[in-house]
Amino acid sequence: MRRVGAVPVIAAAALLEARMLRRSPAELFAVWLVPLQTLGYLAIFRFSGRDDLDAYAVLAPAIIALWALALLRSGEVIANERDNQSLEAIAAAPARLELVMIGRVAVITLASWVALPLSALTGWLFFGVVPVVADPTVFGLTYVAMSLATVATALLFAVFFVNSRSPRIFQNSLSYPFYVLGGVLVPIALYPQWVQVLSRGVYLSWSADLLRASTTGTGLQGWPWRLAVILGLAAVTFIVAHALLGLTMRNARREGKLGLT
Amino acid sequence: MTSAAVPAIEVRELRREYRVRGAQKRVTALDGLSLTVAGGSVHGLLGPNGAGKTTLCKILATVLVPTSGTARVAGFDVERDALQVRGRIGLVLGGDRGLYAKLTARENLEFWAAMYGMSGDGASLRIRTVIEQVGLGGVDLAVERFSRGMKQRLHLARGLLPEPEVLLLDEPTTGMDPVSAHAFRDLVRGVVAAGSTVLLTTHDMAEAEALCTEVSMIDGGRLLATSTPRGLGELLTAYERIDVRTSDPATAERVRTQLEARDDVAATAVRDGTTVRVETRGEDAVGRVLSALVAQGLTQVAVTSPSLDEVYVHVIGDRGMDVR
Repeated sequence: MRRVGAVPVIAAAALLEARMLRRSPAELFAVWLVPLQTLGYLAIFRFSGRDDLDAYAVLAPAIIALWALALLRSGEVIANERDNQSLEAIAAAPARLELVMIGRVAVITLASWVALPLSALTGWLFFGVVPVVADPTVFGLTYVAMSLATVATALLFAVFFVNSRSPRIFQNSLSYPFYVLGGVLVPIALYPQWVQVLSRGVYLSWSADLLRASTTGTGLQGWPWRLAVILGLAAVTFIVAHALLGLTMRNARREGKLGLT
Repeated sequence: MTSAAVPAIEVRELRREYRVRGAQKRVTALDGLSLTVAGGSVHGLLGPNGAGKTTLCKILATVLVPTSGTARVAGFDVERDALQVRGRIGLVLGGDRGLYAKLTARENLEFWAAMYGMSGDGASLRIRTVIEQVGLGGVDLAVERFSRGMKQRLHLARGLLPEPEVLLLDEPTTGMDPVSAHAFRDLVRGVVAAGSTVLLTTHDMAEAEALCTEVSMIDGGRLLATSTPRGLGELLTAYERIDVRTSDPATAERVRTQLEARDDVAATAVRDGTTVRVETRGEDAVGRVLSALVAQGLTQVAVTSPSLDEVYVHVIGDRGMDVR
């Protein structure tokens, strides 16, 4: 019997997703909406005479696109396989479904990176915002950590939604509240104390704070452990998703639900 | 490949129940089914819709777990040694879906090759081979533009890709045109010649008759009969039949009435207006009925064996469109 390595399966799943996205670019609608959001935020800030918040207006749409794709595209990975009736064939193959999900979700998350240059380009073209990053190392590391946490969160969404009879309700409900809790536009330091406590459990809040700080170069104190918090939250989320996926697959095999649509 | 000593598939008292949402009772898909499939054979599984054929395939593919009983594939238990089983089977579930519609056949298979631990030049060569085998070599279209038969061929290519010891084919020729279905039979023969074992569920009696070394009939999750296609026909020798050509419908009806009154005739029917079909009952009944017919001057007679199709209807029972 052939040995099935994790890396080739992840790579094959990533290639599969990349090919599908290339042929259905509309699936990245959250990215294509970014220029509109950037224009909206910049217009509001400039009208209020707050051009010091330009970086906030450029970063927020990129983070929103990352979360929206995790929710709407990555979150449907298992459910789509089941609806496509390919989930049974995957379950009958020696490779683990989890690896397929990681590969596919990683590519979707990477695709959402397009949102950042798109947002910056929009800001520069329409408002003359020159993108400046005071500490590129922290910015880059934070973006990667935030993306890893997004992959883990998307895996959790995928398991959660495939077990839900009405995933759309959850998908619609989990967007705006998390943009607020995640402080993607408004720093959570401005929120009431009890909301800040909740926000600290959301990796987006740590990520958004660090990204903004790295653009200005101020407020970067303790960035390594703040980065570690993002990665720690990612690890906890991944462990929960892994455990729930195992339970879900065992239950689906027992109840005969792998092929149900 | 499976050694001769170890059956390719061994199922003992297999039971599978489903819980139906909103209903009190549980549905029994397999009801104590036992079956052994020898290595290197093509075993046909015949039965009406809802008989339990697909459920059995899914249990053997480790997609479903049995409620009770055991199932072994290539000597490995489908529950305890699921990973070993998965590395030794190819699964082809019929239907339009199950493929990635935006991708080409080759791109689909590249993904599935990785799922079976195949990589590099070996995988590329194998993909090229199976694509040629199923006749999709010259096709460079996205699967969403495939006809149903082409999709079915791609399903088959996916099943063949890992060179499985046991190939599970669940109604693999659904949607194929007759020429393709004929080519499919050659393909299956080739797979078996290379050492694989094939479990084939089908409604196509001609296909089962042409391909299978053994045929099992199941219904209500239970095994009704297992034999060679010819052997199953012989099960019905008690119902050997005679077709009698008459000159006109009135004569046909008269002959039918006379024959029906005989103790050694089980059933009669007029077909095509002038042909009387007689099913005989008991030893030497054919000879006695033939003598009686010749004595009446009826010489256009033919004695035939039942086709697998007729055996199927006899064993399963004629239930029309009902699904149990």
